[in-house]
Amino acid sequence: MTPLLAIRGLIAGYDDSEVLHGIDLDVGRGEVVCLLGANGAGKTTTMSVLTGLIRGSAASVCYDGADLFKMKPHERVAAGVVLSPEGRKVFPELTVEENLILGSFTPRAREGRKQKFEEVFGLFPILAERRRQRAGHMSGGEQQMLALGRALMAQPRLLLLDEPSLGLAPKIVLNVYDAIRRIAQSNISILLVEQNAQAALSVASRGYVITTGLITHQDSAENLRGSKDMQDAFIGNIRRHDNERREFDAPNP
Amino acid sequence: MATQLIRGGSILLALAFVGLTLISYPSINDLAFRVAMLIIVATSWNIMANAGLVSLGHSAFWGVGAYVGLLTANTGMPLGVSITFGFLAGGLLGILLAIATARLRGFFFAICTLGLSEGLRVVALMLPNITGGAVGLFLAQEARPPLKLIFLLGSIGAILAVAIAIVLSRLPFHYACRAMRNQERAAQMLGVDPRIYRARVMALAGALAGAAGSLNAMYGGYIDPSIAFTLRVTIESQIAPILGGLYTIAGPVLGSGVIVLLAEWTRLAFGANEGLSQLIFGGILVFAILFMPLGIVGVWTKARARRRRDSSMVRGGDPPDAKPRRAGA
Amino acid sequence: MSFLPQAIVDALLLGGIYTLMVIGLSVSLGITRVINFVHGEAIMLGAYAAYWGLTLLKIDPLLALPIVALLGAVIGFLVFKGLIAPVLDAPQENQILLTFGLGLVLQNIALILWTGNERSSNPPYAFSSFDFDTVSIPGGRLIAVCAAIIMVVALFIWLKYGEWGRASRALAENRDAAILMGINVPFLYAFTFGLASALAAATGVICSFIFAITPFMGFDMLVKGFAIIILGGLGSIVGSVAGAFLLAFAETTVAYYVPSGNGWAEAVAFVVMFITLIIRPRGIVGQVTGQ
Repeated sequence: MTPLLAIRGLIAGYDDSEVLHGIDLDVGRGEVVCLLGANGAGKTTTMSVLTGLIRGSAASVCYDGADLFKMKPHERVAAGVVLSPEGRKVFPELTVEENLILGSFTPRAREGRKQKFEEVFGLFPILAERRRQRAGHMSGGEQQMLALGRALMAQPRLLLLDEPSLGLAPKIVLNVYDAIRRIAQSNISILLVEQNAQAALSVASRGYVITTGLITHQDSAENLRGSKDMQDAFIGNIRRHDNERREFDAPNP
Repeated sequence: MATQLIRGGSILLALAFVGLTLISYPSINDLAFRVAMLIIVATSWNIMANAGLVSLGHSAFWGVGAYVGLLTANTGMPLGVSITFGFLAGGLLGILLAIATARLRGFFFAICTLGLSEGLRVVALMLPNITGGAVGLFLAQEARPPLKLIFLLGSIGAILAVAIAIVLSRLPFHYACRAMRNQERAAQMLGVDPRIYRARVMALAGALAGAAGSLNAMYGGYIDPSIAFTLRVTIESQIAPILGGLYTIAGPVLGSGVIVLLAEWTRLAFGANEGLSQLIFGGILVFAILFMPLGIVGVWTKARARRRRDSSMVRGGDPPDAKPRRAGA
Repeated sequence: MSFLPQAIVDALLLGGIYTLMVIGLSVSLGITRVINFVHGEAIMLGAYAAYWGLTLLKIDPLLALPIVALLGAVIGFLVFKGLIAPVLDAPQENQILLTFGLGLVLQNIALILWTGNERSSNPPYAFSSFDFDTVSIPGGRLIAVCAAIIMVVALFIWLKYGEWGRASRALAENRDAAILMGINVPFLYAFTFGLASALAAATGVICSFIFAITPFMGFDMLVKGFAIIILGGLGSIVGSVAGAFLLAFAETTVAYYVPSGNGWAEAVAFVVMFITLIIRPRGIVGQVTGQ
């Protein structure tokens, strides 16, 4: 079966520096794939280029049989490519409810708005509690739930998640990843980008590792979890994320 | 080699310019004088713009200089003193403005300058005892200086203004200003105290514009609030540097020449229609911002760089584009 | 002191007019963040449209208002797409100079076409007034206030409950996030500018029977408009309305109680602007706009 997303030779960057030097990546239908890498490796750049926030070039970027780069940013969302961005980027002065409504801005999503509300509130009851609160007044974890919920309101077929664990306390990260697991069960394809490799690998079936703009490893999640190469590559990460990892720890030799 | 050519050529040009004011051809004298006045205010505007201060009210300095100069002359002072007072008045206004707008940048600063010139116009209107109000102020007959002298002072003034700009560009002052233009906070970290540099820049720019304003008032012999604080000065002092080449030294000079000649041509071709020349100026402004933000000099520099790059083996970089590519995260 | 009731009425009416003047500018400034020096000319053109509509076609200005507003919207949309969108990401100075130049062009086209002579459209209600014991309420200004109220309320409702209104508020807060919602941001920018132009054109129509129409009327209004927005706080429509009334009261007070006040009242806007920028640059309802 053809993958939902097939990227070949993606090059992208900012003003005068190229960050991605040609990466290949696939996301199958209904798959959860993670993209791991350290700071500055190019994870967020990948997300930005896929959503159209920055320009890039590629041999091919195929989404559901169509050329993704031919679509304008808002057309991509309408086609089901939805990002929950790094740092949440909620609309601070708007209420939780308004944020969610905005998530379903595209005409297709607007139709199913009422149902989606129930779904999202079922997944994140805290949002229902806080529905009339200003989004900017919520905690980091709550904002992350809001960002996820907002992305879901758009009725995504390919859900892009950019560092959902960033800046969150370990317990909250657990909650967030619980939700991600449940979302994955509803057959939405997910491309998950993370520094926190253990968290990502606990929910993904396949993973890529990106280092300074190039894909250096690629394997099933199971293999990556136990791989010595991977642990070496992330030696910095492992030390930094030690606390968070305790929850996800596989027995360490 | 090229720079020596330019230097030599500029000196010749300057001498020729002075010469234009000495020959007995009134219409040419008048044109040359107007170019000279515009060179001074355009250079003055450019100096401020170089420090990141876009002035939408340069006529404030011009007008203040005009009134102070005229009033001084009417008390019997010689021409030199009147011009000097105009110079000082413009400079003082610059310092005051700098103090008042110490923490303002970009749009806020620009709108303040606009408010200043418009506000001063109203003040001049409302204080007839000092300024003659709407009736205006005449230069007393006895105080009228010989035309030749005015023209000479004009062209020398223009040359002086450009010389000052050249000197400034060699001083560390220049780099401080450039740094301020790009990032005032970053400049602070380099040890540049923005407030002091702002005050200096605005004092200098104000003084130059004030001097030009007073000299011009001597030439015209009559001012009133709308003539002294005319929008025309504000507009032309901006367009000349932008058309010619923002932040450069030759830019204001080039632009001034083009603007005055263009205005004269429209007058001759279409009759004394003030509106048409302003219309063209507005169009030039729009066109320049959209298609040649670095002015004529910028276009020339780019062409030269491209030629140099084509003929060299080293892969050169393009000059920084006017439009930045949006960054994602 | 017997002036007081009339002074208050005058100030309130003036506040309404100023609100009209400023509402479009506040919208475009708040959402597109473009420094727009062309707004005044949109008002001026609206005024001329109303004048010529009445003089040549015998159409009452208030009837012509929706058409003029629609025209303003379309023209504003196109102008934005064609001329202003290219400098959206350019330094502020470029935006200022570009829109300033554009304003110059429009001003002088009007000057050449219609000369600098003052005109005003004179529908019958322009001369009416409601006279009571101590106050007289000019009909034209009263209509202006009513129009202002209608427009502000409609705008608020649209922003709060409309799909695109909500999207506009989102765009004002975070452009990238708005893009991620699937909002066609380039279109929304132009749309907002068109909306602001429509509001300006409508303002012009109403001003056509209150003030003298000249090619330069827009410029004066623009400067005051900026003063009001600075006073009220950039990006806040509520602030702009508050600023409009505050300025109106300040000017009216000066006009009534200061000798030769009518002349000095013109300078009040600048003084207010300077004071605001020196003491509290954020304005009354100061929002720290993410510049």
